[in-house]
Amino acid sequence: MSSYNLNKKAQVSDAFSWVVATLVIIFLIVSSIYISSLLGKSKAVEKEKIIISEEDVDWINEKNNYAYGINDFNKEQIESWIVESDLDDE
Amino acid sequence: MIKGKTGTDKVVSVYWFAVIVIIAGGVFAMAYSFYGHPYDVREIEGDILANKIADCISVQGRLNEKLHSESGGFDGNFSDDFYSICNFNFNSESDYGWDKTAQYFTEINFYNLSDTENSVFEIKKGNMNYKQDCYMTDKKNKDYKKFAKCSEKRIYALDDSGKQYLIKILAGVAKTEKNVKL
Repeated sequence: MSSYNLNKKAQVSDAFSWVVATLVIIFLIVSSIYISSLLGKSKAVEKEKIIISEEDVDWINEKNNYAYGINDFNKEQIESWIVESDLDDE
Repeated sequence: MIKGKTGTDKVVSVYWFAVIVIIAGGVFAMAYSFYGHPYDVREIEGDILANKIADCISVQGRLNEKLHSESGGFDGNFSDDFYSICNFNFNSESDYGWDKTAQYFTEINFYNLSDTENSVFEIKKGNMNYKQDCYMTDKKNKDYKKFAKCSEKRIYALDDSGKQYLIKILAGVAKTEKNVKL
C-alpha cells in the first residue's frame, strides 16, 4: 500500500513536467506567430532602402544636369526650389 | 509488443501526436501570417511613374517639342494626348474594376522662374480624387495604409528658345486592395 502511494507521487511529478513543457511549447509558438504577423504587416518596399550600387545615379539629377549644361543662369535659385517639396514626408 | 503496451505509454503516444499537431499548426500559422500580407510597393511605383513622366516632359534638358504650340507657348493638345505621347495607360489592370476607375493620377505644373506660385501650364491626368491622400501624413491614423501613395519630383528644363522653366510632377498610386491587407 505504501509503495503504491510512492508511485502515485512520482506519476504526478512526471505529469507536471509534461504540462510545463507543453505550455512552454505553446508559448513559443504563439509568440512566434505574433512576431511573424508583425513582420508581415510591416512589409513595404521603400525607395530609400533600394540601392542598386555605389554608382547608382539619381535620374532626376541627371536630367537637371543636362539642363544646367545648356543654361545654368540662376542655378542657386533653381536648386533651392528643386529641393523643396509639398509632401511633408519627403 | 502491442499487447504489452501499458496505459501510460498510450497516453504518451497521444501526447506526442498532439505536440506534433500543435507545432505543425504553429508553423503553418506563422507562414500564413507573414506571407498573407502583401508587399506595399506603391511608394516605389509612384516614384517610377514620376521618373517616367519626367523622362517624357524633359529630353536632355529641353522640354518635349510636342509641348510647344506653333503660336508659341504651351500646346494644350499635349495634355489631351498625354497618354499616347508619353505611352501611359492608367487603366492597365482589370482587377477590382480598375480598368473603369483609374488607380493612378498625375499633376504636372510648369512655372516661370519669376513666379513659382502660379503655374503657366498644367496637366492633370488620371483619378484626381486620390490627390488629397498625398497630404495625409499622419502615420498614426488607422487608415493611413489605405491612402494612395504619392511621389513629387521637381525638374528644370528649357524650351527651344532657351526660356527656363521649373516643373513640378506629382504622381500617385492607389491600388490599395493589392498592396494592403484590408
